[in-house]
Amino acid sequence: MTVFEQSDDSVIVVIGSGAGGGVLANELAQAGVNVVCLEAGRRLTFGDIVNDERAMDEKMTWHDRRIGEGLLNPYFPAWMCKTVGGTTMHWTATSVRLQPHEFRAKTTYGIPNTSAIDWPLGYEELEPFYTLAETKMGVSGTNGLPPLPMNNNMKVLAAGARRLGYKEIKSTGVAINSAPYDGRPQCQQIGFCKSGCVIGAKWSTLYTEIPKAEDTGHFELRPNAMALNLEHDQNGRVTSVLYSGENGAIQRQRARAVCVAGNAIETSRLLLNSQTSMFPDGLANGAGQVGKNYLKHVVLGALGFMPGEVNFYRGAQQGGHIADEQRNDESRGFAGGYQIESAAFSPLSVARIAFGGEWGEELTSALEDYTRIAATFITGEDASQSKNGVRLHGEEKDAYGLPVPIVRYEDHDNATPMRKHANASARGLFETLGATRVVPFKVNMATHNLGTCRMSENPADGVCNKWGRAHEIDNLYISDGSQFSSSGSANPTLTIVALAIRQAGHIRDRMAAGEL
Amino acid sequence: MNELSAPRQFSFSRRDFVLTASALAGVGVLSGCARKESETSPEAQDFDAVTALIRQMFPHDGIAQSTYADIAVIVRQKLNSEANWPSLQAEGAAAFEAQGDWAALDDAGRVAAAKVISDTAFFKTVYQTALFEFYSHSDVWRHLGYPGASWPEGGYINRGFDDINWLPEDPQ
Repeated sequence: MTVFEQSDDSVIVVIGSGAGGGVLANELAQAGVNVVCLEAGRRLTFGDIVNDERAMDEKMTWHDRRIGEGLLNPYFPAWMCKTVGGTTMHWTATSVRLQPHEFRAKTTYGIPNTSAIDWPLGYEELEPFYTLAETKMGVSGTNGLPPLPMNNNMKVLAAGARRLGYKEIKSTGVAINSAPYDGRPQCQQIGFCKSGCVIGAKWSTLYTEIPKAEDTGHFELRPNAMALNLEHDQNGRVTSVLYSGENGAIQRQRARAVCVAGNAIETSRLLLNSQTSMFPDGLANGAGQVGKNYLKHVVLGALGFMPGEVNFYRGAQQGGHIADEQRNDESRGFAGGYQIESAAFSPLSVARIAFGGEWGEELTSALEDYTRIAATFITGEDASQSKNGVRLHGEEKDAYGLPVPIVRYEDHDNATPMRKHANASARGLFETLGATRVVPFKVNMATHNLGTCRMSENPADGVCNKWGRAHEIDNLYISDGSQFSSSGSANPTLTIVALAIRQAGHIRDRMAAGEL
Repeated sequence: MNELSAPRQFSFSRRDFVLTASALAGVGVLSGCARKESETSPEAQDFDAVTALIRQMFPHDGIAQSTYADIAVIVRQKLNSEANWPSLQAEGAAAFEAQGDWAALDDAGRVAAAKVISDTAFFKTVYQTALFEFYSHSDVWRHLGYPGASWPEGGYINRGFDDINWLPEDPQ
């Protein structure tokens, strides 16, 4: 096992081991670049993964104190993981490319009261990296992999969708092995992928990128290592990372460059917390953009109580989607599009999320029909607002001594007509098949945390450039979904992976040119 | 019939907010299972408002009273570790007392009374904990038709992941 000295300032330090950090680290290690990866959570083995939502929530979910404001339920401000693999452990693997127009949110939508910008790169520039990402992850419908077979819930959605005239009904675009791939087995339709995949059929960096990086001899993973602060020299270049290591001892790792991929809330908290006389508002925050423009998608869940058994707990939790409403079509009364996804929920999630706060027969009569429930989860374009974001609590500290993050989110005016339209679509899908009742979710949780350190052409508009490099710090990179200039309508992981592959190439090029 | 509806007398103790065993006013003591439990668990002898509330919060016909009692034990254990629990219990006791003789209420009366109590921090605290415990309990899962983890059985690839058979034909 490779071990690097903490004084070794030739290494690149990657903070986070999920879709952004895990991929970036492996891509660099494969090219012979020495990488130290700091991961706040612990490393699970396959033996630790059980097909039980609650047991895995305790093992994987980020439960450190956070404060939600605005529309965020303080108990559920963001759904992310604290474990090696990050959110690739609990993700449901929908892997869809952003559409070309979604890279141009400002130009395309032109809606008021938004801080939207266009991405500083276009679809064409990212397209080859999407292809590499799909190959890496084994996305169904690419690389000779068949579509994932449709389970009962997806069959309900597909049948309803066909009756509504939808055409783009897909079980491609899922990073779950529809056939054996990359040394990992075919999906056994176990269900509740959110608990982590017991057999590794779902792509996760825990058992793909991380061990592959370790095999190169150029990579060291340090689990249970919570980054606290970034340090810099008098020229304003990052020199080292302070972190809380095993047993809580404070450690310092020197670095050639630092790449932050802690998921939007943690990435922006780390930069905001790294305040010095040269950077009094935190690193890379000269324009005051760190932590701003938090995006989480306009989301809507809906349950359909169907006339027959669905048993939606069987099989891939999110084994397909309907893409027809992802177009931008202002005649619908809102900007941007939304994706309709197949989704299954445990009894606890039905109670907590769909019926959050309810009790008595209102709740139990619905759960009595658990086996007849079909469900969808909808994600739509989220209009950027600078008031949505992450800031540090003035006094309250967490167990690491770090300021507790306050996460604020409010709907943009565009969300109301979009959600109304999406709700009508969900209702239509279920009712055309004879649903006796359709229930939109009471709690619309954050699952995709994006945009708090966004890419921008103009340094005044964002935190990093189109390579994810901080505008004001030459050797500091943003390497996760924080980079997103806008949310698009699709699940973000595939785009995070594509950006990480692209960023790795850029870092290698800069090292070869002697710039890093 | 709601198993709670048999009339009986009871009174609350503010000190520990449990009913006296002699009052036998509990959900738990009404079932054979709970009686058996009471022989081994002193805590289960004392039906308390937590159990009563859990029954009102999650009323499923067909879920055994022993399951409710079992879940109530877990919930009480969790809440006992919270610093503000004694004061919440006192608040809860007062709220219950204000609703009159719980045991004498019929189903509708209990629902109405629980609605009044639902504004209290006591109720909300019990709800947050009980919701997790209740819908994570394997007896409850079985009752609802969710068999639990499928991997020990090999997943659903050969066990009906796509066996839906009632969907209508597509329109022509």
